[in-house]
Order: sequence, then structure tokens, then C-alpha cells
Amino acid sequence: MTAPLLEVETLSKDFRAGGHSVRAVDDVSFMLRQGETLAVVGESGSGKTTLGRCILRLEEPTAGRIIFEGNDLTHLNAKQLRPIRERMQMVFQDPYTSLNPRKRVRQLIGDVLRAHGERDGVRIQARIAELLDDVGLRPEHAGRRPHAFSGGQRQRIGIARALALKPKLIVADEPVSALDVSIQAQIINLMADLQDEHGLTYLIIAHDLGLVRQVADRVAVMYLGQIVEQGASDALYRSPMHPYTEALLSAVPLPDPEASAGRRRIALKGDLPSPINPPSGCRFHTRCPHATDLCRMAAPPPVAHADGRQVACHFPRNADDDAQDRAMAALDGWQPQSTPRSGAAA
Amino acid sequence: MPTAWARIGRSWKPFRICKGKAAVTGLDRAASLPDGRAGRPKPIGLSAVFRHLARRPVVALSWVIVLAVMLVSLLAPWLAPFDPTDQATTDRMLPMGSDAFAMGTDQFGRDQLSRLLWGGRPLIVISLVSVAIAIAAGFVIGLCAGYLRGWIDMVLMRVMDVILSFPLILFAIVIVAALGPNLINVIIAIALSQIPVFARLVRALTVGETAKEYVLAGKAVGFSTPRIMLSEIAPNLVGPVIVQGTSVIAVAALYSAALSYLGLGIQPPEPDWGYMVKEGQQLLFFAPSLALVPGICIAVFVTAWNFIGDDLRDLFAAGGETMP
Repeated sequence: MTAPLLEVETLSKDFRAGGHSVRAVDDVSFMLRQGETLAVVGESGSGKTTLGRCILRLEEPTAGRIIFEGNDLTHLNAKQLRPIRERMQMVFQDPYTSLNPRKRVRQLIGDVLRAHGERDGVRIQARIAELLDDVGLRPEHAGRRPHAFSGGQRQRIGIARALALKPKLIVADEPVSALDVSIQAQIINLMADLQDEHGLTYLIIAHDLGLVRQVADRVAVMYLGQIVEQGASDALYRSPMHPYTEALLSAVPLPDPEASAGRRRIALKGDLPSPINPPSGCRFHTRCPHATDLCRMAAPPPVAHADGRQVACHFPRNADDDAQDRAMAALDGWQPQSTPRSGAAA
Repeated sequence: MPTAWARIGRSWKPFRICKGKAAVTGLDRAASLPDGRAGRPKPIGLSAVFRHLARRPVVALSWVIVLAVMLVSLLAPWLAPFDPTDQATTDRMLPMGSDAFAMGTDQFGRDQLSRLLWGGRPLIVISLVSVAIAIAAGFVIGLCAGYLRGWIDMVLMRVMDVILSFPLILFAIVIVAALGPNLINVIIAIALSQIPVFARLVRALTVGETAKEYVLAGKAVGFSTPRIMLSEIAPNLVGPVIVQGTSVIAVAALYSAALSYLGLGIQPPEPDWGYMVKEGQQLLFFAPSLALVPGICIAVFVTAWNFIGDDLRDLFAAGGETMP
């Protein structure tokens, strides 16, 4: 097993908004091995985009550590980050705003190379041509501005820009959610091809579980800033252990109408609670069909289960016989808080 | 309806609502992709400009007036039949249409036509230069405040608020009174009073641009902060600032004339429309043209700039975010 390329340890990010402090990312830990694809999924507002931006230090994490290729990035300044930026890049969500409308493709990519010390014009042009070819665009596209391209083509340009510095890790923030469904598959296939070709490691942020299943080796499910479940994607899809994962999976449309009709759809009650005032105990208890008094009082710590699965739930579903014991054992020594917050009254 | 369907998706952008309006003005060369996606307007060709102006005769006339006034003022040394400060004491207060003095003479016997030709120069120089200075300073201040935010934003914008809190004319009078009445000081006074207009506009636009992902992308690839501000964000703000600039030129011209009228601008005997109005006003019943003609010149020049500014504003509201 290869050494982890990226380790994220107890990462938190607070935003201050109108006197309130919002914890967008709360104590998130995971790691990512070389060549692997990890998908972070969750509803809007679950903090997945913030998580991705914190990893590239586009947002300053409030607490925790980001370790990339053995280096702690958390406290590097802008200058120290520059060489790291060559190793990790980002693909953005909205291809309509992520490319500067005034720049031609040649500049969009060339500026990146120049910012990292390439001065030889011939080599820059050659590299641009190579990158455009890599992402399936034609050389003559280099002279056009973004408005001349369709959404899918723009996303290809965004990918070419991210690849320009030959990174190891690419954080892709909802890379296809702004695209038509027919184009989504093309972009996902392109990303998969590029992964094979260049040995890339992906952190893909997404909300479409059907799509994630095709590309991800592992999946991390986020809810209100916390990772509630993570594990190998096949196992996680086959037998989700956290009730939230279970509900999310039950909402994925199935192509087979009979299978779809026979399936039990878990409809969650209510909306995502406000992260300004998150529920006590398990954050999911307000919407969980299986919540008990314990869930309302005690936050379940992430517990390791078989096959590298990690679940933060007192009563994991679809689990082996010992899973329940492990979940309870993790609570050893837990005392009810002296001032229980709302919802803990029972 | 394929276009309607294409607009339902994410590609639909609010400013496309106004597409119809842009088409009416004839300047709509905005790249509308075959699938109806919103695009940036393409560079506008000369023929499109003429087509647009043909539909807006008032605007076309405004451009003609503005350009003609500027040209005539520029050529005043060659066009003017006399030195505008030469006093012919024997030919005082001649009426319009006199031999040799087509516009008559003033109470000092100076040729009114020559004075009119020369008198627009300070106004034009003051309005253009002061607006250029205000744009440059406002751009820097607004860009820093809008991108860096935090205490820098706070300090810069409060300073702008302080400037805005003075009545504009009072502010200009204070500066000119303190520094002394001459061309440079009037330019400083008007430029300073107009900086907040541009600083606020640029700040607001910068905040809007900063929210777009290309700025984040610039950060992600390791561009420095000045680089992001100047070469990523700034070029996307130029269009709206120029539009605002044309409107402010009208304001600046008006204030330049007002300061001059109050005796705080160009000092006599140098000719200046604003001061000519003041001098002529005492003789309004004997020789109304002495005050009225320069007054009309000021009004026409200012109004023309206002029409131009309004027209550009309409175009921008319709045409989308940026212009070449």
C-alpha cells in the first residue's frame, strides 16, 4: 500500500457572518493515496466546497492540519505555497465564471506556465498545444476567448489549465454539475483517461451519487460540515451504514423502472438545519428515522469498521454483528454535557 | 422552441433578458451562441456604431457637438480673428453683426467671437483631466478596498464617505480658496471631489468580480495578489467605469463653469465661458448675448455629455458585463 499523498487531520473552518460563527467544516479527517479517487458528497451547504478550498489553502482553515506529500501546508505563506501549487490544482464548478472572459485560451494557460517561471515562448506554445490535445480541443482553439466555447469545452479548458503544471492531485469542485447530462459523461471520461495517463489523484466534490459511483474508489459523505461515513465506494453503495448515506442512495434514480419501483425510498423530513446553530448530539438526529434519545444527546464519534469503513453513528445499519458493539464502545467514558443544548431535553 | 429550452438551464444569465433591448439599439453584436448560451459581446465594429447612432439622432448630435466644440477649442489660436484679451477701447459694446466683430464686443472692447472660441478651452481641459485623474485614483482605491477588504476597505471607504459628505461645490471652493485660483487647482479640486464616485463603483464591481471563480482560479495557480487585482480583475471593470466617466465629465464641466463664474477658476482677462457669463450678466439688458451665448455654450456642452453618458449606460445595461 502506497504512502498517503494527502492527509487531512481534524480540519475545521469557521466563517463569521453577522456576529455568528458558522462552522462550515467541522473536524474532518481523511486521507488520500496516490492514484486514488476520493469523492466527497453531500447536500449543498454541507461544507464540501469549503473543504476542497481549504485543502488548496484558498480558504484559511481555522484548525487542523493538511499534509501533502509529507509537508504540512497549514501554515505556509503565499510564497512557500507557490511550489506546492504546481503539485495540486483545482478544477472549478462553473465553467462560465471560472475562465477570465477577457483572456484567450492561449493566455489562460500560458499565464499559468509563466507564473511558474517558464520564460521560453516556444516551449509555452508547445505545452499549450499539448494540453489542448490532452483535453480533446483543437490547436486553433488557443486563439479564442471563453465566450466562443460551450460549457463542456470550457470545462475542458479549465482542466487543461489545472493540468498545465503537471500536478499530482486535482481537487475537482463539482466539475460536471453545471453541464448537460450528455456532456457530463464526456468530461468524466476525459478525467478518467487523464488519471490513467498522468497518474493523477482526484478529490472530487459532487452531489450526484450515481456519477460518483462510476469514478470514485472511495466515498466520503458529508453532513453539516462533518464526514458521517467514508469507505470504499462499492461497499458503501452496497451496504450504506449511516442512515444519511442510506437515504441519499435511495434517492439516486435507477435506470431500471422495475428495480426503481421495488425499492424503498427513504424521504428525509425537513431541511438541512442551520449550521449557525447545529443540532445537539448527532447532527443528523433531527432528520434521522432511527434517532433515539442517545442520538439527541451524544455526538457519535467516527468509528472504524471492516474494510476501512468509518461511520459516525450510534446505530450503524447493514452492519456486521460487532458493529453495534464498536459504536457503543466508542462512547465509553462519555458523560452528558452539564448544559445540554436544545433538543437534549429528553 | 429550442432557444427557450436552452435558456432554462444554468447557462441562462439574467442580463440576457435585455437582449431585445440591445437588438433595438442595433449594437447587439453580443456573441449569442447557436444554443442560446450567453456570451461576451464581440468587439463592436465601426458600422455597428453608425447603425446605432442612426437610430439615436440625439446621441449622434451630442457626439457631433462634443467633438465639434473640442475641435474648435483646439483650433482657437488659428480660428479666432483677434487676440481674446486685446481691448479696443474705441469699440466697446458693439452689437452682434458689426463689421469685423461678428459677435460684437464686450464692455472692454474685446472681440466676443474670439473670446467664445478660446473660452471653452479651460472647461474642456478641466473636465477631461479631472475626470481622468478621478478615474485613475478611484480605480486604485476601489480595487484595493474591494479585493483586500478588511480594515483597508474600512479606512478607504470611510475617507470616501467624508469627501462625499461635503456639498460638492463647497468642497471645491474650499480647495480652490486654500490653494489659489488657477487651472491646476481647479482640476485638483474637481478630481478630488469626484474620486469617491469612481472608488465606490470600482469597489462594488470588484466585490462582484471577486466572487467569480476565475479569481479563485488565479489564486489556485499561484498568481500574486497585485497580479490578480491588476491583470485579472481590473480589465473586467474598464467598461462600466468608462460609462460612469462620461456622465461625470458633464458634472465636472458644470462645476468648472460654476467655479469660474464664482471667480475661483481661470482669472481674468483670460477668456472662460463661466466667467464670461458673470461679466455679461451685469449687462444682461443692454447686451444679452454677452452672457447668454457663453451660457448656452456651457449648457449645450454639458447636456451633450449627459446624453452620451445615458446612451452608453443603456448600452451597458443591455449588452452585458463588459465591452471591448
